[in-house]
Order: sequence, then C-alpha cells, then structure tokens
Amino acid sequence: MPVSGIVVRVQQSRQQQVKQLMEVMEGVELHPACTEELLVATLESTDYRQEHELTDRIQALEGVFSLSVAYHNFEDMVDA
Amino acid sequence: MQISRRSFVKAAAAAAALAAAGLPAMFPPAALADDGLVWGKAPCRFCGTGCGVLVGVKNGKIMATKGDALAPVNKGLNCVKGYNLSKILYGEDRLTKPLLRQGDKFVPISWDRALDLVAQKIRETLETSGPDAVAMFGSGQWTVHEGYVATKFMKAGIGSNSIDPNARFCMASAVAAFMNTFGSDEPMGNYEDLDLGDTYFLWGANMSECHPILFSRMTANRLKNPKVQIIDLATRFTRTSQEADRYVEFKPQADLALANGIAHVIVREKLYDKAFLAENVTLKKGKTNIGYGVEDKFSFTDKGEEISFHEYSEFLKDYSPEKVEALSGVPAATVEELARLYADKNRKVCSYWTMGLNQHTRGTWVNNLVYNIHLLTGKIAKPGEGPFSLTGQPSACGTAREVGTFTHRLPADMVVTNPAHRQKAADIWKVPVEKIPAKPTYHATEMLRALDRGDIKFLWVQCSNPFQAAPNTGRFRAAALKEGRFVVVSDAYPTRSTEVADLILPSSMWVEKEGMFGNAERRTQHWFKQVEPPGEAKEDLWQLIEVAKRLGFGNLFEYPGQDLHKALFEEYRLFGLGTGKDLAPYELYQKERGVIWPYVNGESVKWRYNTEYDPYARKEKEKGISFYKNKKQHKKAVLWARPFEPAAEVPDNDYPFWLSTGRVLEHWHTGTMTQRVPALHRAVPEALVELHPEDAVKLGIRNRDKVLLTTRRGSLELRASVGERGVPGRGSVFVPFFDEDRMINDLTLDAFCPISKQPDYKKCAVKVERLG
Repeated sequence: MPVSGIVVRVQQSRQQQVKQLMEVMEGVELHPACTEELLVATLESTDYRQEHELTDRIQALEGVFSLSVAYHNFEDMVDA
Repeated sequence: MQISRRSFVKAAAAAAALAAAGLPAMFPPAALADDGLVWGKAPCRFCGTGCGVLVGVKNGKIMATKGDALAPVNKGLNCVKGYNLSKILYGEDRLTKPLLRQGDKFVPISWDRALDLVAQKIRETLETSGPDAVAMFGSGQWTVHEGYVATKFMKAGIGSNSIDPNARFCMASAVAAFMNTFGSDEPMGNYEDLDLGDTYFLWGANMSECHPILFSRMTANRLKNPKVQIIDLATRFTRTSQEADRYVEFKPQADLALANGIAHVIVREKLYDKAFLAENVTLKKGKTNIGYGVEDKFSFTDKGEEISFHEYSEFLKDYSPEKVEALSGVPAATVEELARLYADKNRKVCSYWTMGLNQHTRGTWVNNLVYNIHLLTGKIAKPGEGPFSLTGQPSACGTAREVGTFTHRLPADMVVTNPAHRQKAADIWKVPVEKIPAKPTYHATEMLRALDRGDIKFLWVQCSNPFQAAPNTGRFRAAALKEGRFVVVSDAYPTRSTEVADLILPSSMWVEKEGMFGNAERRTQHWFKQVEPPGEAKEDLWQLIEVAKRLGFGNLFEYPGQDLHKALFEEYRLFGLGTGKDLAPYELYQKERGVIWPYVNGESVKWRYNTEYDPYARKEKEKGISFYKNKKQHKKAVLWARPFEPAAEVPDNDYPFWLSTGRVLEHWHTGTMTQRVPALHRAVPEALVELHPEDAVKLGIRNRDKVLLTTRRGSLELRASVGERGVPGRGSVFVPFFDEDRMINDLTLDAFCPISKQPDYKKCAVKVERLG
C-alpha cells in the first residue's frame, strides 16, 4: 500500500475549487496548511495502479498546474 | 503494514510535503527521525535538471524515496517522475547475464567468455582495419567515471577517436555555439536565475512537462513578483504555453528569422548597450549556404571573418519586422514588442532552450543568435540575466561535455586537434603523445553510417539506444546486422539496440553503483552504491576495465592501494585545475548536495565571467564582465551574423506537412525504463500523432483514428490525437519517439547542423493520410 506526500501547484483563482474536488477523492488526505498556490496532501493507495490513477486524476483537475512528490514509501509493496 | 507503522509513514509523508512547500511542520523532526530505513543521497536518474533524491533502503531493497530538502536544485520536491525512480530498477526483464547471439537467438554465456570475445573482436579489428574501425557509442547517461574510463580506453588505450555519445543528438549545437561565442562550454549562470529574473523567454522548450521543477521555480517567482513575464516562443502549443503569459507561435525553422528580427529592432532603435559591446564583444560573419550533411562523409569547417558594427546593422536590414512576419508568421508588431522587452533596461531577462534550438540543421547558428540578443543588451552573466541552455540527460554536461566523450574532444574543453592539448592528456594518462590520434573520426550519425559502409567493424554501445534514437534509423538497424560487423550493447534492459547486437552485456544502473552526474547548471553530484544489481549485472566501468586488461592496457586503470572511483576522479580533475574548469576534491562531493564548477579558493563560482563572483574574471579587470576563456578573441565574446536558411527538407505537394518529434511527460527518451513501469505504460501505452484541429477536419481525421505517416524514408501507422495535450501549428504534426513498437525515427531525416553535427529531429516533410 504505497503512501506519498505531495505538493500540488494550482491556479490561485481555482484554489478553492481544486481543494473541494481533492477532498472528496478516496485516498487523498488534504492538509489544512496551504498557500494560495500550493496544496499539500498525503495519498494512500492499495497498489501502484490505484496510486497512478489518483495522481492522474489530480493532475487532470482544472486549475492544477503540477503535482510534485516530496515523499514516496512503498515498503510493503517490495518483495524483500 | 501495522496501523502504527502506517500512521508513522503517513506522518513522515505529510512532514516532507509540508517542509517542501515551506509550510510549518506538524511534528518535531525528532519524532520522525528513526524510520528504520537507511537513507542515501543521489541525483535523479532522468532529465538534466539534477534534482536531489534521498533513497531509503532496507534489506538491500529500495523501500522509499523522497525529495532532498537540502538539495538547492529542487528543495525537497521531485516532479511526478519521482514516483517511478526506484521502479526502473525492478522491471521484470532486467538483463542479468551476458547473452551471445546464435542465429536468431541469444544464449547466456559467462562473463569470462563474453569479455574474452570482446577483446578478441577488438584485436581482430585492429589487425585488419586499424584503430579507427573500433568504435564506442556512449552516453550522456554515463556517470562521470564511466565516461572518463571510456574516453581513456579509446583515446589512450585503443588509440582511436571513434567515440561519440548520444549527447550529440541532444546538445551538440549548444556546445558548438558556447565554444565559438565564449571559448568555453556551458552556461555562465545557474538555476538561481529562475528566482531572480523577471522576464523569461523560452525558445522551443516545453519546460512545464520536460523540466517541471525548474518551471515551478519560475512560476513561484512570478507569484511573488507581479512584474515577471514568461514568453513561450514555439511551434507547438503545450502545457508550457498554457501557463505562460504569452504564446508566440512561429513557423518551423523561422526561429532564425525571429531572433534576427529582435536584434534588428534593438539595433535600429539603438536599444543596445554601447559600452558593453565596445568592451566585451567582437563581431563576425561565417560561411553561408553550408549544407545539411545528408550525404555520407559530409565535411564542413566554418570560417569566421571580422565585421564592423555597421556591417552587422546592414546585415540585419534583411530582418525587418515585416520581413520576419513573412518568414515566421509572427506579427511585425509582436517582433517589435519582444525586442523592447529584451532591451528594457528595467527588466532582468533570461532565455531558456533545449531541443527546439539544438536539434536544428542551423542549431549552432540559432544558439548564436540568442546569444547575440544578450550580448547586444549586455544582459548576461549577472544574477537573473543571461542565456541558459537546458539539457535532457542527467550527465550530458558532467560526462559528455566536461569529460569530453566526443570524437574531437578531450576533458575540460580540450580538443585532439591541438598538439598542446594532446600533450597534456598524454602526460596525465602517462602514454606517449603519439598514442592519441590528432584527427577526429566519426560523430554519432556518421559513426552509424560508417558501420553501414564497413569502415567501422566493431561497435560497443553503452547506456544508450541508438538503434531507436538515431534519425533514419532503419538504415542503421540493417547495418548492425550486416556480415563482418560485431556490435556489443551494454544495457540494463532489452532494447531495440540489444535486438541487433551480437553480444549483450548486463549493466548495473543508478544507485546499484557509485557515480557522479553533472547537471545543466555546472553542478556535479555524487552518490554511493546503495543496493546490489540483479544477477550478474556489472557496472559499465568494470566491463571496460576488464576488456582493457585483456588487451594489455589494464595498467591505465590501476591505482594500487587507492579507491578506484576516487582515484579516477582525482586524475580526471587534473585536466581542469587552473583553467576555469576547476572541480572540487572528491570528498567534498561525497558530503555536499553537488558542487558548481569552477570551484576556486574553496568556493563555487555562481556567475562565470562576472568580477563580482568569478576570481578568474577579477584577474582580468577590476569590475565588470570578462570573457576570459576566449583568448583567441582577445577575451571578448563573438556576436555572429547568421542568416535565415531553409530547412533541409521542406513540405511540398507530395509531402505537405512538417514532422516534428519529441517527448511526452510519462516517458523518458526511448522509453526503455519508463515503459517498464506498468502505470506509465498503461497511461500512455503508444505513441500518437498530434494534429492541429483544422488540419484534422480537412483530412477527415478524428481522435484515435488510424493515420498513415509517410516520408521519403518510410511509413508508420499511428492513431491520432487532436486538440489534446499538445497542439502543433497548422501544417505540422508531432510524434513522440519513446514507442519501440512505432519507431518514428524510421521516418526522420539524418540531416544535421554542419557545425555541431547534431541531427534535426524537428523538421522533415511528411504525408498524412487517414486509414480505414
């Protein structure tokens, strides 16, 4: 179950709208601290496929300029 | 995963993201300090930005990655490709044993047998055809150590200059123009210019998708400073265009006219910096009608002739805004506005570019023309002001350019044609100077042509995929399979190049070995080996040294009692010390998040040529700018009068569209790594052909319709993308080159810039037909 910490850069005029849409996405935990242009969230997924679908959906939201990843842990996905 | 562990990981993820966004922490750092992983630093494996990554390892496997908060390049953030960094190591079909071709199959053999065979084939080629027939196709993805060993192997061991990297395909035009303008390769500024400038011109660079972290810095600057403007000059509307303040579309090849048009207005209206020009600039014109290199054994040498400023202004009369409008499609009024923005004394202006200017049959010229604007306005080598060539590979600068893994080069900008440079190399390498040949042999494209002709009999490809990435690649794939050729390919995965090899050697990659990369801002970064490679995979450096031993020159790589990687670097460092190319001691790189060169008196020089920052410039004058590396030009930069000349193959009645190629966000270069990440493969499973919506309507093509593209080299069936992510200009189509099942380079033309020898992947003529 991969977990990541992300920073999403958004168009200022659409920040509220992007926040609302991200808040209702399953697996997304939006952090209350943010700026007019930057949102911070943690993503939890069952597998890489779901994780990728989630990041794709966020990037496709109107008003999202980019998604950057600050932390990515996939320790229970690795066949150690 | 236990709940408590999961909560801990989530807290660590949130803390890292908050810190990277510059927001207050939720937990004291000590609470998250011990996460059970061993973290080591490394630069990212993908593009030339050089973002810092921390790699978390447990039980010999990578379990986590994070943006390195201490890395000045990216300050804790990685672009979305950061999700896939570790996955590229764990693709199911990693090569784990040497494989020898037997008919149509490959069979596993031992390393001993493989290395003996390589040595035997090289020896046979040396005996029958001489050293030039032994060739090495290298890479801007080689580590600094690997590139250095390969150069020494070829030039001091084999005695052949037949070595050239894939970097010839991505930034040779930038190199040629840096050298003929400033006498020294690589930018004078650094990434801080993204934070400090206020006017950014992007010339054919889709930074939002291809250099997202750098683009984020630029847009963060815009958020803080309302004066900031980003102007996207391009032939294709992209996500960058969408985010820019202004999009200016020009016709393919017309960047030459547009840059001259901007200079025309600056000169006509006397907006230039007269004092800067008098003190720091000399003017020249070069040869014209210089050809396109489409024929084998094409040869060209430019010759500069000094001209006066009056002659230059006469030359610019051909580029009035009205004439530029006719050539480029950019309205005359826009040309005037762009010129005034560049020249505005209250604006700090930077230019950024990548493949749009470099992959160009007049690539050196168009690089020169952008420098001209900065030289005219004096906006160069100062914080927030200057021209900056971005790179696409992680060590195009550090390895290909600085180590000098080109046929004509030696380390630290030296060239084999200069007897003093050869002597210096021979002294450091402790070989007779006669061993290093004085004549360059084959640049990358010509190397593949020579393989076809039979002038090259033995070719070793490392860390590259030329049999998918080279232009007009169909010819070269057939060449590799011809009788009497022996092709060795060292790689981590099966590729279109291993497919045509006689022998495949399994390579370790990224943190499976110790290494260094050098990024686009002259920052050299080191990492330690952090995990073991799979199976019997070995680093390319080891492979080369083992063959050198078998050929009798293993002594070139013997450093008794010393750590091999450190000893190799310290020897390489001798080339640049005291020349303005000074690297730091090895230990410093082990500790720091990269060090920018030149490193002088214990400090990095952030803006070269500027007396305020550069001790070498201070030796020349008390205050101001000194282009001290351009000794032949009296330490001045050269402003080149370069005209517009048409592309090698222009659309006509039979082939009425322009074909341009490039990258998409999800896949890096030929996709050998990213196509093995299932999520990325699912997201973009195949290359599509992008069309302008009006062209699509005319041709009756809708989204995902099957389309046949035909050039004079071949045909390819693809599905259409209309009005989606990227929109090429009317009359143009765009196809990415990552897809090994749909190889667009079977259609591209092997025309190149006669000065830099870099191919033009952005312009050839194509027919577009709807199928079915």
